[in-house]
Amino acid sequence: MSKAQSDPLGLPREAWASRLGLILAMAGNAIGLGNFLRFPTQAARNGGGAFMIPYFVALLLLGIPLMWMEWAIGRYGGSHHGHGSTPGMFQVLARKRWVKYLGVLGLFNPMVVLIYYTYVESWTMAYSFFSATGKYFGITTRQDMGNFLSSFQGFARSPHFPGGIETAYVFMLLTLAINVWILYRGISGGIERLAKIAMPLLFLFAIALAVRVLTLGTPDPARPDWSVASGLGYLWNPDPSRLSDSGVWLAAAGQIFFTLSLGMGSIHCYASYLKRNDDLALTGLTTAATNEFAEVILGGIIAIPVAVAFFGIVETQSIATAGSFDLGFMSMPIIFQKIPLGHFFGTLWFALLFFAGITSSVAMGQPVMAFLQEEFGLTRRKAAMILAVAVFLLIQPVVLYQQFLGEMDFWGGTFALAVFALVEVILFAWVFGMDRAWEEITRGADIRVPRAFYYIIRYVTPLYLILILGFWTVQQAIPKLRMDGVSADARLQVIAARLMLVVIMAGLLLLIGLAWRRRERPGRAP
Amino acid sequence: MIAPVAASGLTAGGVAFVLLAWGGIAGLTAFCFHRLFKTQERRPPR
Repeated sequence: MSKAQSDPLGLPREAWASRLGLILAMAGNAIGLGNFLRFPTQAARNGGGAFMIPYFVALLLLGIPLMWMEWAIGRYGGSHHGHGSTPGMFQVLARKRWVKYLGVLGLFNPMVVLIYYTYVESWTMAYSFFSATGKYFGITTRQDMGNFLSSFQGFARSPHFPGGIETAYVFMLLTLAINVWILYRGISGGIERLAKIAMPLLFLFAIALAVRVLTLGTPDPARPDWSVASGLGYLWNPDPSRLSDSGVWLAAAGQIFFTLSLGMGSIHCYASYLKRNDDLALTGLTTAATNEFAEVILGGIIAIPVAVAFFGIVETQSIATAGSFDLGFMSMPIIFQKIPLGHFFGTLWFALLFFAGITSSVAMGQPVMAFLQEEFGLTRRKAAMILAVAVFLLIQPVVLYQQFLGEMDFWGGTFALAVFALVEVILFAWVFGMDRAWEEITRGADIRVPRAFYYIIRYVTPLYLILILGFWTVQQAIPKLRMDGVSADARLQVIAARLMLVVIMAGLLLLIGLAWRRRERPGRAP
Repeated sequence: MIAPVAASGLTAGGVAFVLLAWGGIAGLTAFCFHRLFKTQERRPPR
């Protein structure tokens, strides 16, 4: 996989240096903060062990088919036509000029997520540093830890951060700079090299933390119910009655969607650096399995069981309800103060989250990089500079105003992912044609892909997506759009965040139009 | 709303789900990497 290919503009395309590097980079793309924070809270809130039934059903009918499909679209667009981003890929799939505009979601989604994700990622780097130096040591309640987080973000005053937002801002700049530097170094020199270092470290840290948690037993003998065993029971004891709740099935499908980084354009982009006959069936399945290993086994051992051991079941329930940030940034720091070598394990925990974050965020940046390089003929240096400036400008309101992160997460990081997945499954299975799609998925395959997936991709996956989108629209998007429960003070920020999303979308559509006008000049390939 | 959960260790059902989930995923991961290295060995250098 090391020979460079040529794109239609005659520029050499980058390539993965090794198959293992590709797998680690793809797994790094999939393994993110959600594996260690979102999964355990979702499982605990949605029936414990019973959650795994809809979870595995969604993995089989939605996750794996979509994952293979995105790999196949990426390889087809990249190896045949030199496109590393979805506008070009969609155009060659459908052979219609307007279809390239549907591919805007493969730029919009990763760009929007990259903006706020970079900021959250910078918190993990900061907290790793705070753990090593003991900055939050001495804060012993979740409420006070919440105030610590708020003051770090500049939304509250505290003696810990007399300069207000300064510390968070410096870590944000540092994180953005590292991301851009890795992207500037390219596919094999940047992303693949990062994955080869970060992924083994991530697994090492996760295993060390899992062993530490499993050997904690019952930390307070006066509270025998507060134990790791109770925590595992809370997370895994099945509550079959929850299976009749459609919300549980929806939560499981959503989790599969996020954990495999589907609907983002990143898988397409990474797969575009494959050759025409390279295997994607086994390589793709291996990355999905590696992601599941990190999520269900390691992610399921660490955060929730240790929370039960130190906070008890009742408070852990409220932590799970409050969500991932509460678990990761408010509860875990208190726990690290109560265990031996807390500085060390705290540093390890947040470094683990940072590695999980950065291997995902570079994957979000690469589609935009590929778009700028291939469709505008820019050098990697220029593309990286443009991306850096764009993210730097757009991250400002996320850093300064509280409502932006949630709004961008819902529209760009949740709803638009499912819309994009539905668009691509229709294009690939129905417009490009299922027979050709199947040939793309199975060509060069190192495993036999069961024929059942031919029918699953054609019928079941689109239906599943329509159902998810329908439920999300009714249950979440419409109330969100109406700003139900949003205070009058926050409404202006919400509207501003939406305006920013519209501007990003319009800007990207404009760029696509400009890129194709440039491509269609005499002497350029379509 | 989360239903209250009894503060107990893993039940037999919990153990079964853990073993099934962890065993299934660990097995799939092992299978994939095994096949990957096998096919890598067979493949002529490019």
